Amino acid sequence: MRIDELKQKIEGELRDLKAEIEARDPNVVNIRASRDDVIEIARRLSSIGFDHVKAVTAVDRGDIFEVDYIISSYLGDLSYYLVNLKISLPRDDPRAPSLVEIWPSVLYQEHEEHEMMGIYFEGHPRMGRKLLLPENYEGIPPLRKEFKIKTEGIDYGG
Amino acid sequence: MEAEERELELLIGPQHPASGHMRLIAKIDGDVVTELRPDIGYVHRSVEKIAETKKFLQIIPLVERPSLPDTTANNLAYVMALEKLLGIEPPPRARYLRTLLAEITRIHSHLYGLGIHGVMIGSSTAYMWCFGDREPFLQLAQELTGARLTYSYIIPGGVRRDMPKGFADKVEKVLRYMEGRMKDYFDIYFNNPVTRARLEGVGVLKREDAIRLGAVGPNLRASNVPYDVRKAEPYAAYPDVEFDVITEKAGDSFARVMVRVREIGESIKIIRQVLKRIPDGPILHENYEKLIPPKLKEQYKSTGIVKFPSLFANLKAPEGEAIARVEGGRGEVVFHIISDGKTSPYRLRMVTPSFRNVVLFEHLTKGARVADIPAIYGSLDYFPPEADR
Amino acid sequence: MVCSLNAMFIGNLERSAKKAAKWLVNRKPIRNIVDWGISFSLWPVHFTTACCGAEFAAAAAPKYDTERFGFLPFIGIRQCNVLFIEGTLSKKMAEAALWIYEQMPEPKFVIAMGACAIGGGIFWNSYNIVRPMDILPINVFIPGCPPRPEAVARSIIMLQERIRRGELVKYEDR
Repeated sequence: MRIDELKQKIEGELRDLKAEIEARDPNVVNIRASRDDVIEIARRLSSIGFDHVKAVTAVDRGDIFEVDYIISSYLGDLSYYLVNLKISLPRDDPRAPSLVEIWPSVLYQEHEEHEMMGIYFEGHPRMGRKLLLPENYEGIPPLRKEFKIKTEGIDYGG
Repeated sequence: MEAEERELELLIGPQHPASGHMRLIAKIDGDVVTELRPDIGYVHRSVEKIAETKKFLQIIPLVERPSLPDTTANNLAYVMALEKLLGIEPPPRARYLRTLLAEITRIHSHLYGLGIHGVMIGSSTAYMWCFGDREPFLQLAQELTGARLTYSYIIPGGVRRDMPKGFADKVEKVLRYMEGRMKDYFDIYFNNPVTRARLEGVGVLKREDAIRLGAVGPNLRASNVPYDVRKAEPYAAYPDVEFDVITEKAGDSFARVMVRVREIGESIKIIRQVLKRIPDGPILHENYEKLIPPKLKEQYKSTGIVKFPSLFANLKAPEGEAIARVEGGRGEVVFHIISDGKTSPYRLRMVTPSFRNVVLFEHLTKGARVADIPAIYGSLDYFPPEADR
Repeated sequence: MVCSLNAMFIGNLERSAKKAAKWLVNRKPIRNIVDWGISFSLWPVHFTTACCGAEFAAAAAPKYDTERFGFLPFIGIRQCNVLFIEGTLSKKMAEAALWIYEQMPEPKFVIAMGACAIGGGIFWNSYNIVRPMDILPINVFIPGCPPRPEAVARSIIMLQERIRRGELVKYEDR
């Protein structure tokens, strides 16, 4: 099917939910939604045929956090298309519902974004445990913009 | 005895011939594993954070280093995402050269995985033969790009070097050598009753679980799911070449090994087609070619080695975001770049195939014996620095 | 009578026997043989720290065979005497490297492989890495990213020459 047909199919499926749907050539459909509707949207996308999540990206945009789910399918024509489901979270309350019940492939990716960006996914079984950072790491989550790393001054020692 | 008294927690730590750069925390009851938790993060070097401080072209070696045996996939996916942001397409000859390097890399990456798997289950013959047979392919890549493993060959707008004279004949010699060796491999290693007994029926991944858990690469295709990015969203020169997607039905460790072996055969087919059909023409996009100063341009035309225009030192990508995916040797690599118009990306997200396959450790080892852990580990072709980035 | 003569002229037999043995072992012929033996049986620990491990594995492979120098990667830490820091050392891995270094028996050596082991390499500004020379005494550095397997073989030969010159192994009073 062509991308405008896919966009219409998704629009029809999500008719009663508040979601902004946009098609970017050649194969990406962006859906902007709020965190209250995201579980229902995920359930309906899963029923159309999108069966796994490729990537979960958390972006620190200053006053809000944005979480992007890149969703696709392994089978059929839908494997050409990528759906980019974006939700925005306020900075002082970065909690979002976890999609691990619908798509178990997000297990490790949500855990990594929790550790690196500090976003709490409600319903995820491993919140609070460390994945990549050392056990005794304390401090702000590393991928936030306020965590600065050196850009000059490599020290080779004496 | 109570269940808690019988259960032993075993740490298969970073210093172990069958653990790689990670720790496996196994709870075992007698000889049977009840739960296995992978403890990753031993090679976490935060590529995503460093990428926000480096310029776009400096990120090319940075994203190659995590997946050392298969660097072309990361290089290609990053440059494809960058080209989507810049809005340019490479010329046809550059697309064919990218495909050539990608397939050579796929062959020696599969041989690396098979060799490490062999040494994990105790066959040092497999290790020595696989690593010895990788060397001709590494030498071919060295003639084409100048380096053994970290090529940095693919740049925005094309590739860095043209094929040297006589290269096609050398490639044909190496391919014929590899085809001849395959019979020896089957006689000594793959049809060996010990190998079959250790690998058949071990770590079975069912089709629904493979799709549900998000497995990628040969692990997915060995469970009868015919998904390959080269067919789902063709890139580089793949629309013009013919090849099959290799699948197996059994889903056990032996099926995963067989998928890799047969994919080497398919890669040999693709390389032959690429060498026959490669068109003539420039290897760098004309927008960048015309920015090279005239004296350097003469040098470039006579030797075939690209001289970078000074624009590359301060390349700015327009605002927006781009997603690109590529089929590497281990599976699908996904890059998501968000740019805000500066010389460094605002956010770089890199999802490597090993990171998507970590969940299979927990899933496949339930109920397996302790001696099956290396057999399953090696068959997944998991490379820890790639998962930790 | 005999005991007091012993006590007067010979003194503590055990201590003087030890001193005589130490003097004998430090004399040229035996010292050279012991150094020669150590240099041709350098067994590294089977411990990969980061991506340079792929080129280390290629160095042990048929084309750049390092086993002809007596170099056999071995599993048990208590029988090995050289530790290869291959590539970047992250904080979690540095703890493991220190434990392993402390469990190895004397005389032991450390070879730091790759640009990341020298000063951080391409990941120098990462928040999660440690510079190996801050935590371990290193004998040989190998530059490169990753170093070629010929460079790994060369570093083993350099270490062997330094051992045979008698610079690295000291025989203390034990």
